[in-house]
Amino acid sequence: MWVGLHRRDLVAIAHYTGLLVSSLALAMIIPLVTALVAGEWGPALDYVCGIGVAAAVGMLLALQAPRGVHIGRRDALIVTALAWLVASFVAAVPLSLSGNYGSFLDAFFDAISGLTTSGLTLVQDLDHMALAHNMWRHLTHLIGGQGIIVAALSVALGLKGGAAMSLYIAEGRDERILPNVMHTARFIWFVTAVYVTFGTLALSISNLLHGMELGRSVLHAFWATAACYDTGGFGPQSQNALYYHSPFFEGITVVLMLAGTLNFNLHADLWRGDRTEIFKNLEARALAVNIGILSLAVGLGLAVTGAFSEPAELVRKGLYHLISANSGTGHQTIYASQWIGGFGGLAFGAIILAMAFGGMASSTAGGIKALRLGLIAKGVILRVRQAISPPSSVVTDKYHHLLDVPLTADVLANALMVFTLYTVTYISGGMIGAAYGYPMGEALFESVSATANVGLSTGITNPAMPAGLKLVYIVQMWAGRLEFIALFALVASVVAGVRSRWSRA
Amino acid sequence: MAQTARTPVTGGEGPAVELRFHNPYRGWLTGLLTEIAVFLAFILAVAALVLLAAQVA
Repeated sequence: MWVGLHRRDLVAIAHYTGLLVSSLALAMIIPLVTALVAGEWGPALDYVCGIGVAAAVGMLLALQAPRGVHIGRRDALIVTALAWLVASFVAAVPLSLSGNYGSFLDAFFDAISGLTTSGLTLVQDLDHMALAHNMWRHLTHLIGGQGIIVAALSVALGLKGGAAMSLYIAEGRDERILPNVMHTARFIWFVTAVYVTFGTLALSISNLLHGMELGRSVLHAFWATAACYDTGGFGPQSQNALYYHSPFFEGITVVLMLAGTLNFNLHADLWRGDRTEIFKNLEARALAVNIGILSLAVGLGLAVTGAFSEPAELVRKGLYHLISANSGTGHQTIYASQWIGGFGGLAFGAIILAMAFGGMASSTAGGIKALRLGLIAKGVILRVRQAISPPSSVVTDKYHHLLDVPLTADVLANALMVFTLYTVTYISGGMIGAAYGYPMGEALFESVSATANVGLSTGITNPAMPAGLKLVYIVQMWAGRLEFIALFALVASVVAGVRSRWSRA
Repeated sequence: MAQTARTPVTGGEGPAVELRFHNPYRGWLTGLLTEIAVFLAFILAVAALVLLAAQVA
C-alpha cells in the first residue's frame, strides 16, 4: 500500500534537510577565506551571498520541527533524495554569481555534478576562473564524495542516535567500521584526510619539478587530489589532466583514483593490519578481473586504430583512461574529439563498459559496482551447477565480503535489480541524446558517464547543448548517485500524496 | 586498543554476541603504505596486459 506523507512527516523531512543544507554554509567559509587571502573581492562577496542563502534556507527548513524529532526509514530516504537537490541549488548560488556560467541552470548542473562527484561541466572560460570558485568546485567533490550525510555527521549538526543511523543507511552506506555511526563517519573523513595530505604533497612536488610556482603548485595539487581521490573529475584548467603533460602527475593521480574506489571497509581492514581480506574479498577480485579483461580490449582497440604509434604512449593513454573510467573519476589526458578518432570502436566500447561497471560499493565511486557484478557472476555459476546436479541434490554457495555470506535468492535479486535499473537508465539517456541529434555511440557514452558519475566527455556536454538534455543529465547524475531507491521513495511519496488529496477532493 | 559492543541477537532475546571493533587508526601509516604498494603492483599488471594485447594485435 502506498502511504502519503502526513504533516508530521513533512516537518521532520524539512528539519533534517535544513540541517544538512546548513552544513554547506560552514563549508563555504573555505572559499570565502581563499578569496580574502587572494584579494578576490568580487568572489568574496559571492560567497557571502552563498553563505547567507545556505544559512537562510537551512535554518528556515530546520526550524519547522524541534531538534531531535523522530525520523523513520522512508522519511530518511526522502531527506537524502531532497538534500542532494537542495544542497546543489544552494551550492550553485556563488557559482552562478561568478560570471563563468551562462545561466543558473548551468551553475546548478556544475554544482550537482560536483556534489555527485560526476565531473561533467558547463563552465565557461575556466582558465581564468577565480581561485575561490575553483576551490568551491573542488570542495563539492570532497563534500559529496564522502556523502552529504557523512559530512554533516562529522560536524555533528544535531544528527544523533536513531536519526543519524537512518539517514546514514538511506544514503546507501553500509559500513559499520566502528560501533557508533558518528565514529564511522569520522573514520571515513580520517582516511580522506590522510589521502588528501599524501596526494597534495606528492602532486605539489611533481608540479614544482615541472616549474610551477609554489602557491599554484599546492593549490593545483590539492584540487587534483580532491578530484581524483573523490573520483570527481573537475580540474582547474580547461584541458583537464592533459594540461600537466606529466607522467608523474598521471601516476600519482591513478593511485589516488584506485584509493578512492576502494571500499572503506577494506581501508579499515588494511589499516587494522589484516592484509588477507583485500585478496579474498569477492568485490576486490571482481574489480581486478573486470579491469583485467577490459585492459585487454583497450590494448587491442588502441593497437587497431593506430592512434598512438609508440607502445609507451599507447599504454599510458589506455591505462589512464581505463582506470579513470572504472573508478568513476573522469580525468582525461586526450581531447574530446580523440575518443572517436583515437580510441575507435573496441577501446571506446571498453571505456563505456568500464564506466558502466564502476568501482566498489561504500566508496566514492559510482556505477553498478564490482560487488554486484561479482554476485551476479557467482549467481550464474550457481544456476549452472544446479542445472547439472541431480534433482534431489541441494546446491548452495557463499561469497566472501568482509565475512562469509550465503548466496541467497534475495541477495541476487537485489544485485540484479540495481544492475537492471542502471542499464535501463544508461540506454534511455543514450536514446534521448540520440533524439537530440547526437550520434548514438557518443550519446550513450555521455549518458553512461552522467549516470555512473564519471565525467568523461566526448564533447556533447558543453554550455551550448540543449537545456532539455542538461536536465536529463542532471536527473541521471542525481539518480545514479542515490542508486535509485531514495529517488523512487521520494517520487512514490509525492504520487501517493497527490492521489490521497485527489480522492478526498 | 579494541572497542567492544555487546549486541543482542533476535531482537533482544537469546544470548548476546560480542563484536570486537579493532581500532583502525593505530596502523594507518603501515596500512597506507600497504595500499600504495598493492595499487602500484596492480597498475603495473594492468599496464602489462594493455601492452600484451597491443603486441598481439
